[in-house]
Amino acid sequence: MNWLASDAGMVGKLIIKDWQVYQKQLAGYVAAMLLALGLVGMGTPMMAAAGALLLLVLLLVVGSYAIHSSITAERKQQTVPFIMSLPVTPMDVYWGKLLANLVIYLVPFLLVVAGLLALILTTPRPDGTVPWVVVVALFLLANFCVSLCVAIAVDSEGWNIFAMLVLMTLIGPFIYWVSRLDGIIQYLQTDDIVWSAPVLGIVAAELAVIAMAIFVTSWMHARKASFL
Amino acid sequence: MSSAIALKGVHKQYDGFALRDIGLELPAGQVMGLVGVNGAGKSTLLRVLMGLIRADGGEVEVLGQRLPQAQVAVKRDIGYASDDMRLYPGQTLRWHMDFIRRIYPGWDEAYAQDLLARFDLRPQQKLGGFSHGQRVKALLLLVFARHPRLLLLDEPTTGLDPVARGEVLEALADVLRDEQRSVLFSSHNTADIEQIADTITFIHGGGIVASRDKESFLESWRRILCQGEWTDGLRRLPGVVSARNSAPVIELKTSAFDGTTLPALQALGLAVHSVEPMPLEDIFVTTVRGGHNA
Repeated sequence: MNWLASDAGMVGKLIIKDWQVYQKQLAGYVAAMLLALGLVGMGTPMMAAAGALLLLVLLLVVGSYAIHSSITAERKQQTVPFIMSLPVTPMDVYWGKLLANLVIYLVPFLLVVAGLLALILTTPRPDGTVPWVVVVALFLLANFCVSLCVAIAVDSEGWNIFAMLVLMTLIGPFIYWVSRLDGIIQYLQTDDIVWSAPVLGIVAAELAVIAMAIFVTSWMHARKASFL
Repeated sequence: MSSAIALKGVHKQYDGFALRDIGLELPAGQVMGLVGVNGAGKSTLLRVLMGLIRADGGEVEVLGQRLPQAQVAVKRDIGYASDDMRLYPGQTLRWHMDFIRRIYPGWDEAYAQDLLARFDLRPQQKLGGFSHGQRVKALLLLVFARHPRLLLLDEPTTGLDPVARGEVLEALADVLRDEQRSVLFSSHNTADIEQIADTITFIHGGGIVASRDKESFLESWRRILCQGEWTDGLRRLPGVVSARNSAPVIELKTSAFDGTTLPALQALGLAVHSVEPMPLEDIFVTTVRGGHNA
């Protein structure tokens, strides 16, 4: 069982290929995210709420778009045989697809998170919301990673959509829960950035979920002796 | 002479279909036509040769290396195009050419430009706007322009109009001028196979039913029309694959025509009226219907 790619250079070419294929659409999402960040930065509670909601929606949409376009749609469009005909192993294609999607998602994700943190830290808003932003952002990232791994591992479009919907429905309850969690709630209106035990525990759990999703999918792919 | 492809006892089992005991050899520099009906196992066999499918048993050697273990090294020297392969619809042909050029150091830009002109393709056009024929030609351009040692072409002319088919076959004939290049070309269009192949292989029901060089293939098959009394012994004559009694004419199709065939018929009291060579399509259909090895 081989977990590694046979040629890192080839994986890099596959990542660049996916980046080039989806960069125009991604640029559109990034532009919309900058607009949403601008709304958050305008200062009025109404605009900030609208901007934050728009950011959340855009992060969800860009993740779904990346997964749908680069995995599900490529299966339907039958571009996969073209890639398989290149001098690559199944693990090269797997790592190429996983890393390309992570790059495609992480660019807007990091832009949004960095933008939000910068807005919080450079404006009179309470700095105590920083841990809350990090916890929620990591939940969205974990959500994306699990959806991505399911899409890579499972060919069925129906199961992929189901997994994505289930994971998305968890976002609302999660935000509600962490906003009222002891260790977070008491600092939300203060300027103290406190990395309490519950915050660190949730961050650790989120990172573990991401690592586990990637580990399980990699294990499943490493067991494959051939493409088909 | 070394072998471009050597298969021994290769088998692969699926639900409802099996590739059975495939033994096949393609000497380097030869063109083999693989003929079979839809579902005969042509695509599965080509995927095994690309290392995309691992056979359940047997030995698969391509360009001197075992598959699927050496698939990366082997695929650097193979040009593979299949009927179900598509390019990225939102990207231009030029983008695809640049992508392939970055992967294969042997990319020949001058030859690619020549093929662009010959196939009448516009490099800045997106693949989504290409017709089926243009898509096939674009795919073959990407394959041919990197000069692979072995071409595996799975039904490349299927669905093409006569003009596009002629262009593709002409380009393929040019590629074949390089005597070191080997080609395995699958199709259910026997006319294409007959035009370019040195060796012909029939595959049916997951097994090889015939594999011989084209000249001896075509030389050994004959359709014989004769008159006389029908006997069941006619079916048992050596090489007779099909015998039909349409009194007063008897039609025989034999896969082993030689100097002894006509005397044997005359000895059975038959008067031979005509002996005709058979087109490859007729040979294939007769072989498949007869269930015999040709």
